[in-house]
Amino acid sequence: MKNLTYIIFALFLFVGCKDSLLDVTPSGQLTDEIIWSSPANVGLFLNDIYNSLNPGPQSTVFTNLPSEISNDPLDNFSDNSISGPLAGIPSYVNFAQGSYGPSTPIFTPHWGNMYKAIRKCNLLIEHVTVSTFDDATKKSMLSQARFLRAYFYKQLMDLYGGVPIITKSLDQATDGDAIFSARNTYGECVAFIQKECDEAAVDLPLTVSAANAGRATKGAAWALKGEQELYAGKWADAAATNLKIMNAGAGYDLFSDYAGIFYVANENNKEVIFDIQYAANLRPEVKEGYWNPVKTADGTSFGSVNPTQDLVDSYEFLDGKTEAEGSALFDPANPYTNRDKRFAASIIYDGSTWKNGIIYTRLGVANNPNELDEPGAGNKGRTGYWIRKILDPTIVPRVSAGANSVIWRYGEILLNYAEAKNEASGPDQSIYDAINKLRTRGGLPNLPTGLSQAELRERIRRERRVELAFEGKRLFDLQRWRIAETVFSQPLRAMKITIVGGKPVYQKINAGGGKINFDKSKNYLFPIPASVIAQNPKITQNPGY
Amino acid sequence: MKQFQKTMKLAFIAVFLICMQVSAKVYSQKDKKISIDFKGIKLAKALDKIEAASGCRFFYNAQMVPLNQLVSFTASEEELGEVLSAILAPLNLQFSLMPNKVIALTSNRKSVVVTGIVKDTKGLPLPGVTVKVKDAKKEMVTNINGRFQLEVADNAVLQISSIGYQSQEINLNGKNSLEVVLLEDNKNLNEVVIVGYGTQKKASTTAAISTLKGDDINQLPVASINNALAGRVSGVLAFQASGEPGADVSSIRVRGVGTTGARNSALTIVDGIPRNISQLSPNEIESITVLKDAAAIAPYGLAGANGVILVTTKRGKDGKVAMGFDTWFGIQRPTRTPDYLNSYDFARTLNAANINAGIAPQYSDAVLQKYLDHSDPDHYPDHDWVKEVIDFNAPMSSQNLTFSGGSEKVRFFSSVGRLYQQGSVNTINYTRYNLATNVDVNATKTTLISLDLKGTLETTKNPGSTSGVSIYTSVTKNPPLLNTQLQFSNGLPGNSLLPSIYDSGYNKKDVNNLLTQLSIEQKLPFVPGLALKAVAAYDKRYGTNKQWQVPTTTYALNAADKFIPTTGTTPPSLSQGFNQTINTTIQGYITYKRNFGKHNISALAVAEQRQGDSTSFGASRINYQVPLDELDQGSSNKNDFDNSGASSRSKQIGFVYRVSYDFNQKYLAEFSGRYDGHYFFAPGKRFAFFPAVSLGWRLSEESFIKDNLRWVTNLKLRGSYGKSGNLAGSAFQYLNSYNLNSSYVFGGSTPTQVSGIIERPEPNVNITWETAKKLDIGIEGSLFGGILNFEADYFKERRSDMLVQPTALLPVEYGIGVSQVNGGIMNNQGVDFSVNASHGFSNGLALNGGFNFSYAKNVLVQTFENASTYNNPNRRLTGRPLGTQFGYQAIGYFQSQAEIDAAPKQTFSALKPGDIRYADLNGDNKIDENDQTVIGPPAFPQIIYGFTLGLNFKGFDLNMLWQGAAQSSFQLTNEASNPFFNGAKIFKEQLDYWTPDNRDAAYPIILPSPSNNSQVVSSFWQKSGDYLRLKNLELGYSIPSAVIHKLKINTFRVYAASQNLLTFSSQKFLDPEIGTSGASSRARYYFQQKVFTFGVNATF
Repeated sequence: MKNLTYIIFALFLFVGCKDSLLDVTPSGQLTDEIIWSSPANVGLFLNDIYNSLNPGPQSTVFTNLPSEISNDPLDNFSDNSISGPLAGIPSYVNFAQGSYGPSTPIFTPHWGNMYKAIRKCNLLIEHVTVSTFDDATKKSMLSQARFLRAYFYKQLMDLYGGVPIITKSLDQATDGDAIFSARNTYGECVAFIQKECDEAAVDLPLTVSAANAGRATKGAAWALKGEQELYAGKWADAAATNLKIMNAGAGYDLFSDYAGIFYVANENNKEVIFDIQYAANLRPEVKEGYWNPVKTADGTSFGSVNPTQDLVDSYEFLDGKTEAEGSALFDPANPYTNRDKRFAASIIYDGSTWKNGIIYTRLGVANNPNELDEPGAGNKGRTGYWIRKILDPTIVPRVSAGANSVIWRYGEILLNYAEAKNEASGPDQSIYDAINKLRTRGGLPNLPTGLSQAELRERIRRERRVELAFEGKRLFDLQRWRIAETVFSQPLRAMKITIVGGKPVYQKINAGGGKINFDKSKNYLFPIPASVIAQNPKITQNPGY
Repeated sequence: MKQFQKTMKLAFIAVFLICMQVSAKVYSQKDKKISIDFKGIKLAKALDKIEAASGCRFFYNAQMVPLNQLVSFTASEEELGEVLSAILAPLNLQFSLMPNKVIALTSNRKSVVVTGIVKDTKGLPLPGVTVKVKDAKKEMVTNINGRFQLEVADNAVLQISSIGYQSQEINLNGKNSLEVVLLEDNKNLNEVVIVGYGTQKKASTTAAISTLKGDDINQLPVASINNALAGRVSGVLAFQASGEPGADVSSIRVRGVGTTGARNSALTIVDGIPRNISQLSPNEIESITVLKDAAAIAPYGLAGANGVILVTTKRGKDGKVAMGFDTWFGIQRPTRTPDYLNSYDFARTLNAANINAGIAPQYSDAVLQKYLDHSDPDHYPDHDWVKEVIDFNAPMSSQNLTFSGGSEKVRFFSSVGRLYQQGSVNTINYTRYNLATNVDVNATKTTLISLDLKGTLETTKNPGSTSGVSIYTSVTKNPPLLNTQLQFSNGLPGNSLLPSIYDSGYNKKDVNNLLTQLSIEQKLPFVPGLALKAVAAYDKRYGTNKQWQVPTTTYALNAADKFIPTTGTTPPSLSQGFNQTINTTIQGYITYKRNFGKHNISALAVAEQRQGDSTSFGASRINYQVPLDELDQGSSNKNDFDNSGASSRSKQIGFVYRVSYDFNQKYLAEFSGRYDGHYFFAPGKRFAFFPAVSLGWRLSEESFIKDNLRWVTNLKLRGSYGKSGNLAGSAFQYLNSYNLNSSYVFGGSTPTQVSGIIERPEPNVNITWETAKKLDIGIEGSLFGGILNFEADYFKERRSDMLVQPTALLPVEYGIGVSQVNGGIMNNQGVDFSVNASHGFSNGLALNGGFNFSYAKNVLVQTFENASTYNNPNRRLTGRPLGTQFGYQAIGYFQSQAEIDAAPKQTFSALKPGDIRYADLNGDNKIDENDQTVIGPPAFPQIIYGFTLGLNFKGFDLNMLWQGAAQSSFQLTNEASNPFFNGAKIFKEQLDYWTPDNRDAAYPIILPSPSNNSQVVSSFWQKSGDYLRLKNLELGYSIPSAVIHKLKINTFRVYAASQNLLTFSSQKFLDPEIGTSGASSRARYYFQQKVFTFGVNATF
């Protein structure tokens, strides 16, 4: 038994108190040196900044979370569509009722998410700037990171106005109280984006290879800048920037099939300038399960996008006039024929074919979950219409899908240019050319000539609403045009179709749950989350909240 | 009297006396006159006096003569014969005068042969019990089957005693067959309790510990022993937030929640090694010890601050091989379910809600009629989803077989068992097999070698594409008239729920646990009292999981009323995974124990090294073309493949010491502690010292109590103070580093996924463990020879260096998480006490009862919170218990538009009469977050208590445990609070809503979609989590041994039991242990179950 004695005493000795006995190398972690010394690794870091891109206008920008309440598209926060049969989703509960404030949970994550992405950009820019990488690599990385940083700032500015511009990675140990920044003015922020986009565009490529589709280009930087200038009312700048894209020689043009712009098979076609990339099973998106009609030939969905009658009424007939303008082609017994081709490509209406089945929204069809639900409280439709645009009919709802979200496309550039140019210097032929190009694709006649600046403004605005429907621009248009208070003072409308004597009878009614409360004294900007102000007393709240 | 008289053999005496009686013809002594005077003295003494007075000598059989009987007599010159008659007649004794002045005493009593069996309260035989004849020298011990046989006088009194049990006296009164039930004596002074790295005599322990015997819980119909502890031992607070098989393990907090960190549960130790206890079979458990104060936990260093639960498993004892068999079968059903409205009432109520909202009613009278008369169920369904989907008779069963025995040299114990628990649907179930064997070998007189092997196999099965929680989500949400109905009248499913439960494949998880341990203990003869021990443990846990998902089919009616199937379009997929954790522990012990006169010393030193290695990997394929659930049968497209894998290692080193000293078992002192090191932290920050000291004073050993208060059997005052640690956070927070992940895709229509690198939170190089300083003052006692025992403790703890996330101090724009810092401080204090009493009556009735109570309340002393809550005394987190619930204070309803107009501005949504009104606490005339205040205590209860009652009579036994909790609350949200939330169904209670005629309603104005105003977190929806439960009730009957003995069965007991039979709480439609998750506050959680069982125990 002496052996045991030795063993135990040896154990006491062996188990010394040396730190090294507790050394464990963490598996799956990389150090600073490994990351920043290698262009390949910095490239991986850059990949992750792209991964922080917001899910895009097809989803709400407010949550960035794939949860039960997200994927309520931004147009549901406008007069283009209203949320579907589900209560409890963001647009209805948090927007339509006008009761949102600094503590409304769904508006809380956005601020932090954007600044997280901005830090990544700052960190990369700092390290790459001082690196010994070759010049081309440095320029490529820096220009992409600066474009992406400007993109994230614009996502904040669209909602909040001026925000703190932070261009270095903060470190509490060395920066002290300097980590607390006040808001810059909206003007300073706009100028920042103009400068960043201009400088990034210098080094960004005009086009990228097919394998790199999704990376930033000169066109993307200009599109970002041009849209920001438009939103800020910097008309001359906006016209110049958007014209630059039109003349860039990057091969941008309208894609012939309006609906097909958004299909998976046509991704990164010549019309697309910048998009957020998804891929089934790899980086999937889920909007099809939310946006499709409640029941389609291949499955069921939440039916969460119900286009309004007001949007439908904005579509011209093939004679270039709307119903309100007394189009001769309008047939009250057959209101959906002879329309702008973009209507049928954007909206599923009663009797239209979708996914190899006919969708009825009329009342009186047995066992029909897609029909209009007049009180707007049941499990069916709210307006008598469903969204078609952006949805790829080959994607089965609730099956992993990967349709890209288009952020800017050439069609929008034409609209941006037209609007900016008209505001800056009044009507001219280049404006007509831009708008008529879009109208031609829609099967419409050219705009009447000789319009005044104000008349042209109205036509451009209608064109923009129709062309960009459901692409997440409408809310910001209503805001910057300062017409939200007027638009939202009216109830949103629905179409009730009943069969009388075997014939459908069409009746426009107020949509159940389709009233948006809007307080012009504050709702032109969103509230800054309470937690942001609580943790940084230098940040001031937007007026009225 | 001569000694030999008392010791003569019975046979000899008998023969002798018979002869004497026959020949007793001499009367010369009978008339002799004597004078005596004695009062209340023993008969033996009285006979001595008579011998002295008469010059005669008595002769008798000591077994038959009650020598200790007290007698009194006064005689003055009376005849000896008359004196003897007067004294002896009442004692049923006769006398005969013999030659040579010998007087023989004989009893009228006969001698009988008594046979008997001694059992415990569960009906199990007790070997080694001492059976002694009162007032006589005769005694024996029971055999391995608990049996004994004795020849005694038919009026003898038997004293039956065994260590750990209360002694009993039984008056034979002519009986010759006995069944004796001994009551356990938990607080017996000689009881040895398991403490950290050793054992101690309960009487000389200076630490606060609670103990529980394995036999008290081994027949409870619970899958995990965690669920058996609440209400049984003081100082343990428990909360079981789910009823899901395999996921229903109660969270246990020793003395409450002491830290803000996630590592707030007690350390669990099985047979000296840190191990999980939840998968142990209760049948293998000998005892459970809960270490509560600093003195008790000091040996566990940085792992002990949240308390320690020590489980000791059963081992073999000397004796013949004994076999035991236990089995029970039971059914489970939810403790409480809301009473949901049927379609007709749902539709009518929704119509009323629509009218309130100013919109047209949804359902016409004709439609309502259809819902009422069920004439067209395919178009107007009416399904009670809960009743139609949930199995209200879900089976549960257990079988267990044990063998044990051995000799002085070698002893063994083995046990094999199976437990099966079905879930609320039969595709969800949990099966566990337990196997345990241990062998103790006395290799030499001074060497003990022990080898332990334990294995468990746990299998949890779930459907492929759904889970228990999501099934409950569906059945508690879907309205009875939902169009995609549960099933049509012809049985076809309209909704994916039933197909997902029964036809969506499977998700099977197997976990194997192997616990092995070898220990060698060597006494060192050259130093008396010194011993060495080495322990090596190798524990391996490996788990596999396999999930096979296949698409399901649902049906819908088309416009022509034909059933059209829709089959899910995702092809089958399979994912398989494997994970393994190996923990090795090596311990070296030096123990010393010796008495020097009245000075008793024991000392312990242990060195311990632990290492853990975890590995996992997984693989999956999607797009299966053929339904063969094997990985290699899947799609061969590499894009359909996926895999994952990781590994990690952990290390810990510790040095334990404990020195105990007592003087004459009266004054006690103990010093213990540990020097501990852990790999979590930066070099130089890895080791720390955690010492404790404790003192005890046994007042009952002092003469002022010993002499004056004889009924005080034991009384001890004790106190302890010490420092212990708690590992918190996660490893490597001191390192600045990055992780690799699957990131973005580039490439448009032909996408390629690229890797990404993300920055980990900013490091904290100074990070270290939490420190707990604990004080405990306790008193324990035993009265009336152990009939009544009590123990009470007051404790106070200050936990500092708690890891807190300092994000509140940084602007949101900082853009990166920061590692935790050791900045939080929390105080936790409370009391725990227990009282137990037991008594066996001479008619065979045995009673025991107990009450235990645990109260722990923490207070955050320092935490990081932002100015908006800190500066508002109503909302301040600092100074309040962790998890205190905040919200608006509801002050009834707005009864009229005028009231709304006059009230402070409340802008959650447009208001109507009947909406909830909130208090404007800061008086700024508007309701915003600054008006929030405390609306309830934390969800985890601050008080847990339990009453036990047991009685045993003529073969019947009845045991019950009432268990309760108090100082707990939870917030109901979404469906659980507001009717028609997101189209969900509603329950009967929600019909009591506000109308102008029902202004005092339980719910606000009803709307087709609840307003934001009624969804605000407020006192309105805050419900008390207090409850009292009949947690366990058990009635058993042991078949008399006379009946079964012939069948070679030693004992045979049948019983019926139930778990959670009755629950009393203010919540009538939900179980009060609702939990705190988002799903549970919506009442979408897996309901707790009540269980009814029937079982049999037998020993052979």
